[in-house]
Amino acid sequence: MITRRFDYLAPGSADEAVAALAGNGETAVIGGGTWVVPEMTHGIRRPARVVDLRRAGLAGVEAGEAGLVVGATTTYTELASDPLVAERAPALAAMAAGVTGGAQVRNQGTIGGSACYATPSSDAPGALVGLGARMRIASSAGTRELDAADFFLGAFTCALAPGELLTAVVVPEAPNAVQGYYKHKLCESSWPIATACCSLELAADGTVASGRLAVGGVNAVPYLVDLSGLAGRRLGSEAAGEAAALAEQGATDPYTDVLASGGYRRQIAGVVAKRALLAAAGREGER
Amino acid sequence: LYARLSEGRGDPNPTEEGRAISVTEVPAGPYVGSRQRKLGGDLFLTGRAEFFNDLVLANTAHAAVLRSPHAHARIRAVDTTRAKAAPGVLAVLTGEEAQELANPIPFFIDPAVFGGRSSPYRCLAVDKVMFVGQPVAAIVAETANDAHAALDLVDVDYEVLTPVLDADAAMREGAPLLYEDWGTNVVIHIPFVEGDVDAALAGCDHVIEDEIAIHRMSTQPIEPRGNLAVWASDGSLTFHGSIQNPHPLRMHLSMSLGIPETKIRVVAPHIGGGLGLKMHGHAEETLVCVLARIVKRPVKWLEDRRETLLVGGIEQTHRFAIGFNADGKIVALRDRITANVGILTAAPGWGMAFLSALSFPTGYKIPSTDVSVDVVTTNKGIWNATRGYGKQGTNTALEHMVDLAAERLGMDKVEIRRRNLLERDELPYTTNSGLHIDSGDYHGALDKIVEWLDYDNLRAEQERLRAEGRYLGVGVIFELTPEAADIPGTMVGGFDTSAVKMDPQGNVTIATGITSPGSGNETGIAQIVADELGVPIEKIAVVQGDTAACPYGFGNYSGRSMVSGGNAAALAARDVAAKLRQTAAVMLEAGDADIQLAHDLASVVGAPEKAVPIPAIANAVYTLNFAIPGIAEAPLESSRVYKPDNIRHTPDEKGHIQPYPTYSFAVHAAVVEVDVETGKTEIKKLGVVHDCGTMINPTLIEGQMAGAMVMGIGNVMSEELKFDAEGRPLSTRFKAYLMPRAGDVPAIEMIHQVTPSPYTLLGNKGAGEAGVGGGMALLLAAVNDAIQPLGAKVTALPASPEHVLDAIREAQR
Repeated sequence: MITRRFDYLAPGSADEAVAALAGNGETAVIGGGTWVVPEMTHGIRRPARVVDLRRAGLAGVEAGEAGLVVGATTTYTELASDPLVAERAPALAAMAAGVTGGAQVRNQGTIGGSACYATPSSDAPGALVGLGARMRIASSAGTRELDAADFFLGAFTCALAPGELLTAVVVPEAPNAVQGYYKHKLCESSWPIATACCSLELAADGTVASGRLAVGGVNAVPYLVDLSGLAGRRLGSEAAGEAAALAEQGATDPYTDVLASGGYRRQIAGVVAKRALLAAAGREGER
Repeated sequence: LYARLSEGRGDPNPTEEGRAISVTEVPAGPYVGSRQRKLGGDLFLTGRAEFFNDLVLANTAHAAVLRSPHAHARIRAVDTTRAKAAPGVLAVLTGEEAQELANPIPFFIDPAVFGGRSSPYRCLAVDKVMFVGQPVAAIVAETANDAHAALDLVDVDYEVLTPVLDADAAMREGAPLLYEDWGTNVVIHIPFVEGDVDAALAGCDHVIEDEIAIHRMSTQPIEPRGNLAVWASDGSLTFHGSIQNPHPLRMHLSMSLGIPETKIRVVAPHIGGGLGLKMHGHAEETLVCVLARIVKRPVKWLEDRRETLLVGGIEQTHRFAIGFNADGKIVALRDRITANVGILTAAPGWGMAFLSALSFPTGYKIPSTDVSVDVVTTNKGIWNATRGYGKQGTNTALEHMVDLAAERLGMDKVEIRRRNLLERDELPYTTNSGLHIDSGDYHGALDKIVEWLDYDNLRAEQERLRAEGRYLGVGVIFELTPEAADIPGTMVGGFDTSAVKMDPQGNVTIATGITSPGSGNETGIAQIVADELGVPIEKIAVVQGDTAACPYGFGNYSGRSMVSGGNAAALAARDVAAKLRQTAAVMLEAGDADIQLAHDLASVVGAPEKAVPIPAIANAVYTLNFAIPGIAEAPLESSRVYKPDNIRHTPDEKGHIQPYPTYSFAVHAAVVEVDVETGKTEIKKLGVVHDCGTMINPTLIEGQMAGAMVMGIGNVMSEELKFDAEGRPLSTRFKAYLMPRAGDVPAIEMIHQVTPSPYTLLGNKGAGEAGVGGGMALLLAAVNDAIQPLGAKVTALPASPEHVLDAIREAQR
């Protein structure tokens, strides 16, 4: 149970939310609260102030110039059911639909909340890096944008400075891309152990023009795998296997927690990468 | 006279003559064997059933427990000054203070009864803590929030000692000692030896020596524990709790609190799962009573899931040698079991290790066996009973050994079982450890599962898929589950009591000493009584879980409820039925004719038109006892005990006793596919042939079997209590202790076989524990079958993806 009193603020706009961050003591910002509230329940975290973004108008998906603008408090359910996301960022939709915890968690959890919480055992960070998302950050000084790849600094650590708030993630549109998402978890109730998310631009002849793939959950932060070797080739088991080898090499400092050792995560880094690529090629289930 | 009465009272089935003889519109029996719906099931399904936390008493204060952050430490001092000053706090209790207010908690099963070591267990630690989570102090406050918030304000000065977490390490010379006066960390060494195993092993064609390590796991009922103590002004105590054994707990509260049992009432409401966790001997039972005495108000304590997850069980390593000949006959088995029970509490957990050794070699005919267990204390938390009560360790280890033998011989894994399992006509059979197996048809069950699996084609398909790089695994295992125990000198009782009472309107109340953990035994008992009395089940109410309302009983454990309480209810109902028949014969002027009871009517056998409604008989017994000579004496009540046969506590010439009256068994089958790149197992098909003798209600039995199998599967696949190097628990929530969800387990094909017990009244055997050991043994067998062509096998559970992949990589090295 949450035994400590705290101030609860529910700002009505992004500006109000930024203003609410100021003050003494720890501030916990929540989207759906699916990460922070259990920590408060367990006494692991005892913030002086909880800023709940639900009323800040930061939910929703719209098409912007730089891509899909996904509000920070957009829930997984909204992502999974949004037609724009399904059309233009299918890997993001696939990721959201598969978030562990059932409908209750998917209705509650938000893409921005998971990004800021930055746990390696989450789907969101790896997916955002894999899709090349830009993180839109507000503060009293204005707004800035950061590559998702630069946003995640360590387990449970992101690049938000004090007084900063993630307001949206901007997912670049890739009209000629195919995307794939693959998650490995131990069983239904398990958090992700390793994930891979990729987006590949295809040439007119169906060969790979360029591509991007991130492995999540393996190291403390998601990492990109160099796919330049795929250029000009069709995506099959052989090409995917080569990328898998590179993905495994990228597991330089694998993460250990109660669910899996770093050694295990390293062993499956290549497997999830290969399966995400094969999923992008419409060849799910191939090994 | 009767006819007028029955007209006046609106008989349910009147005819022109006022006589009720129509039988077509009343519910049809017999109930025993039918798929009767759970009584009150609608309340559970719609969330209206009331559980412990639904009980709200005025003026209740709330308790929170301060727990040790160290696995092993001396308590130098406890300062409660700050906590006492915290908002809402009514009282703070330390171990020093508690030992003045309460005696040690009596053991559910004291190891000293068996010649082992024992140590007083108190509700709060006094000088020393021995596991992370051990209660050190308690706070009572106006609200649960206030109580929990003040926990941080109790200042405890610890001298941290070196913990010992591993059982082997704890047995080594010079290991840190938990109970210093013992001079050892071993509670007891229990051997079961039959024949000259060394000589037998030396004479075998093949001997496999290996080990299988079963990890620490837990039972996690959806509803955690909770206790509420209420003292009345006359010094009597009412204890409400989510508990399995009201009467035995009453005795233990009496002894720890120093008041007679006559002053204590224990009430258990509906329970959201028991699974052994809610057998008593926990610190918090005595503790809340002491706290309520101090603050002179009702005190409630509700367990947090982190606290539930402190209670483990099963962890045991088997170091074995199994000897067998080229024909597949197993001739010798040696197994040295080391069980890590954590610290010794008053709860019955440690006894599971005893049962793990006793239950060898299940239903296999192995001439020479030498099985022993060392029960070892460590600083790795505590145990309580977990459904299966140690027998899952036996089944898991032994089935693994049998599969190893088959693999060595290149023999089919079903065939090796056929060659070693007892034949039907060899039963009853006394095992090497003195267990007396009642009845069974193990080969019949094997045949049924083989047919369901389409076994030969399945093996061919497995071969074909291997060529494609897909690794299907087939597991077929045998499970024996001794159930309904009576352990002498303990509160594990094999008998129980049920009272059947028919009121003047013909409705029936059954009050019984067995309790229901949600399993539906109340429905089974009502079915038995409905048949015996010939009344519709809708007219029956069952009262359980209240020492003030129920006859003495031992509650729920060991698959005992229908064996003891169910058969006791049958006996009691027969007494009442005899009174109904006697009275009916008088009312029908039927002389010595046989009277049958069915459809709420008593009728003359062979002359169904001569009938009288049972409510009218009941009414006559209560209101016309002086008016009609020869009718039965009121009340229509009987309370009877049922003691199953086949329990023997006089040691035989080898010193063995026979504590289990019934031996349910099952043959389980699984088809899995192992993803050899990730080590993850997908269960594709599950089936079981289960035989628990006479079935009272197949639906309830299937529910128990499904729950038990899934529990066993979860135990092997993903559930594990993990600790860091200092003994701090890491599995503190359901995102770290992974229980199976619906998507992890396919539908289970249930195939029944019925081999009645010759030793119980209705021929029924225990149902409820069987399946846990089966599920565990099954998944291990299936996973190892899948990866066998890679030269890999899992020998340290759980068979998690990581362990499976490790095994594959190890084999490839």
